[in-house]
Amino acid sequence: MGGAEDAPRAAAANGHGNGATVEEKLDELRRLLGKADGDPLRIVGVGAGAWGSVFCALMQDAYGHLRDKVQVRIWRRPGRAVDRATAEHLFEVINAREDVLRRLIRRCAYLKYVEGRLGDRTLYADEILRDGFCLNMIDTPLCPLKVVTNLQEAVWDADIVINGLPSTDTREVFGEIGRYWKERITAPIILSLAKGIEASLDPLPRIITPTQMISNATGVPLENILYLGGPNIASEIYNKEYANARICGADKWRKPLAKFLRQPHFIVWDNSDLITHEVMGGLKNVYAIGAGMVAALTNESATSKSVYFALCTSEMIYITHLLEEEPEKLAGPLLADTYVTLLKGRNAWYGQKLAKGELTLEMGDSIKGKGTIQGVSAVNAFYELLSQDSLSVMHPEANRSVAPVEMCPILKALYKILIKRELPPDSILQAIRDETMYDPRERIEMAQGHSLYRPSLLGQPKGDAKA
Amino acid sequence: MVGSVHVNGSVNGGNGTEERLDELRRLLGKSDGDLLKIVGIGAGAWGSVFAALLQDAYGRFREKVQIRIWRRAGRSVDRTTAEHLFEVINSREDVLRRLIRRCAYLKYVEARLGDRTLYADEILRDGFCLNMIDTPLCPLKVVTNLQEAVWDADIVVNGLPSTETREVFEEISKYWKERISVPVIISLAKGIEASLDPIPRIITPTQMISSATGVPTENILYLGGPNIASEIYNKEYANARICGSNKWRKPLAKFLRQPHFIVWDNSDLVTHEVMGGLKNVYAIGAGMVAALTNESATSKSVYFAHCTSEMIFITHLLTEQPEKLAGPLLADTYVTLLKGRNAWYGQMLAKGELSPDMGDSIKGKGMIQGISAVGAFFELLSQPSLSVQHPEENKQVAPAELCPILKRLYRILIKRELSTRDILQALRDETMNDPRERIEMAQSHAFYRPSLLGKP
Repeated sequence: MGGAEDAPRAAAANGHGNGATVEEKLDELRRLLGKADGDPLRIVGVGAGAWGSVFCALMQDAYGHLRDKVQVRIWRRPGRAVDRATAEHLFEVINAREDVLRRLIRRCAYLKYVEGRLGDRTLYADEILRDGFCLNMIDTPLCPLKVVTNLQEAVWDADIVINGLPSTDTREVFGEIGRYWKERITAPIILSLAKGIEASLDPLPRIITPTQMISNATGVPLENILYLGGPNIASEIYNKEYANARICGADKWRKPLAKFLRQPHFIVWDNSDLITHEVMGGLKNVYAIGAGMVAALTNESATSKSVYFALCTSEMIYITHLLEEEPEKLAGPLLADTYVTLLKGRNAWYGQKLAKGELTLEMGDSIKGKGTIQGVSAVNAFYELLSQDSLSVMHPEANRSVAPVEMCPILKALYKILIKRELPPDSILQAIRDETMYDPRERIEMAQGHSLYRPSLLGQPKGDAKA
Repeated sequence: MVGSVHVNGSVNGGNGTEERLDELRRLLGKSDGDLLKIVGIGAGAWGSVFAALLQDAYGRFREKVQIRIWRRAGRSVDRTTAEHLFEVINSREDVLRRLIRRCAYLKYVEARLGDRTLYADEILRDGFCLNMIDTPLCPLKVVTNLQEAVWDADIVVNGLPSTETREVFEEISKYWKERISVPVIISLAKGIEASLDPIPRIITPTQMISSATGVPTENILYLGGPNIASEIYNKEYANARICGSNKWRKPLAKFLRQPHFIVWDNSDLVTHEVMGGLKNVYAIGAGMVAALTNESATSKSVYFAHCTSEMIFITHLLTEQPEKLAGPLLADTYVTLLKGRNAWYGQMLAKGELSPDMGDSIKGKGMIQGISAVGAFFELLSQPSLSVQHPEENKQVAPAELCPILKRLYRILIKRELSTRDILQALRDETMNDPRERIEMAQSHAFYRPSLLGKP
């Protein structure tokens, strides 16, 4: 089998073309990775949250039939029990879907769900995932997946690793993976889906991203680590709603991977700016929680949502000017991601539940059936980072230096609600209704009119040219 | 007692309502006993709500201010609407009591039974706007004679669709020919027109008003912002933006501001007025996408990325520093795409419940301004004299070629050679440029065309 033929039309932007077959795309990637005949390309998802599971299922659906050329598997921890209520709901989902029911019967895998429904058997997350049921996304059955619960067995010979962990687990798990890879000859490619961030304050205030954690933990060079961001309603993507995503990283791998990952309903653009997109992926989750609160407190008022949107996007634009020298370029993708994240998604959902009193902060940021709410830890990270006096900016009116967070009233309110817990959720409305609040346009003008850029925030010493 | 003054001139502390009214009266040279006359022109949803907000806020100062609204006479209320209106009245105790107290209730019973025809102007006197039946307003002083309404007005609020603005204000100018004092005009209209002769340029409602009446531009302002009229009247928190000259925009912002209705001010009248029209273009497409994908948030976000990148591209043609529009443009775009008449219209077209042949004025909804704006922007941006460099093909193209959604909407709504489903093709075209590239292109080249907004 030869390489991909040139598409009938000239290749359009971002190097993609029509006409390449699935097998040709796989063969091209195998060749780039030096896979010989008979040596399967091993793609491993690490972590089985909604997006991680969907991602693996998309790969399995697209390439899984080419058994001698590729193997897709997913790792998750063993031992997570499925509670009775979820087992009952899962049984309803199965019986409502003829295709799923037939598949389970054919694979002799159905009766355990009857037993689970009746309470006669405890099901576990890893065993139901083998049948395509993700515990965080029960209503959307996936294709069957090869599930491995031993981490070493899962990753030791992986060619491509997909990080589907929450950022809060990333360091720990990849620290363990680093030990299994100590004697590897080839460097694997790692694609991270994680959106959370951490703040480090010592020796300088700076953001630590999941890809940086992975590189530190495993020693894999950053050139081989990429971030995939984009609107992330996993069940919609699996149901073939049209979606755009963005793969960010070094030239060497991002274009071939974009091409490999692209499907008719899942378009993948590519971008060289890994860090900014990864950070912005985390920043929008911060404001998504507030958006959910506003939506619930105002009974889905579009007018109030728009006020919130104007204010939170102006804060995000302000923050991007601290992090990036030419942040206007984020306008397109940042907006789309922000739009969907504020409209629907786990973080916005969480904000709604808090505001309605159906969830409380004491329940923590990992919610059954939803997974980790990354926005909570991101609020803390951004707030602590932007509170550092060493980052002071000139206040536009008071003629004195202030920490950047003083210019971000919504971020401050979210910190007091979610982290300090000294304010109730409806305080978010006070933050947007404060008559003394600046016109959001003024914050944007301030950001663009003065030099706010702080290279140290993204871990690059001053003067270094960006790759 | 005046408390400390905050940014944008807002005042905290004390009861500032009468003081704000007095301040505006003073600025307009009104002496004691001479009423400040505020007149709304046109009784669409937003025009009616605007007049009602002012009546609620200032109407009790009878010897200082009079608020009235003009609408054409003769528009009858059909039986179905009359039946629905009767339900609304009877479900609202406060409204029912008010009508009984004013001896104004029985005509609604008669209309419900089909024994009487109601007219839009008479129900508006009781606070019912034909375009917004579900949200009763306060009673309003309604005038159906245009000369009587405007001849002595101090402040005129244009609540007309842009397509009627020129005609009505030309008539108004006849009544104003011998006026001594110059009125202040605030326009709420969001539509635009394109003029192609002698050079391609946009004509805005405020420009139409100035041409028609001779009132200097200094006295004409635009009020834009998210415009879900019923939500604003129901005291959902909203921001608006008044754009115009220094002389009037700050005093008016202060006068119009209420606890749940914040008014920012901005000097760039023309750009904001145009952007108000531009977002309605893309709102129609957003409604189509929402209906065709069963409210998929994922598809909406793809649409949002592409349409905002087109809007940003277009803003670079129209203004020298378009980044300054980023905040307010986004908020307005967000709400207009989420909810609103134009998005609703796009949904109805996609579901087949409406068709383009029904025109752009819909019963119960009013004028869908986005339709004429699609035609205006597309025709304007198709002019070869505005050509820009194509990013890949090394040739000059008209700007419309780089706006695939706008092109698609033109062919669906104006040329009518495509079905609404084709809007999805615009999103799913694999050869479409990454929206980021359009933005980068706009920001890295000099695209600004001052002539488009009639500037030298």
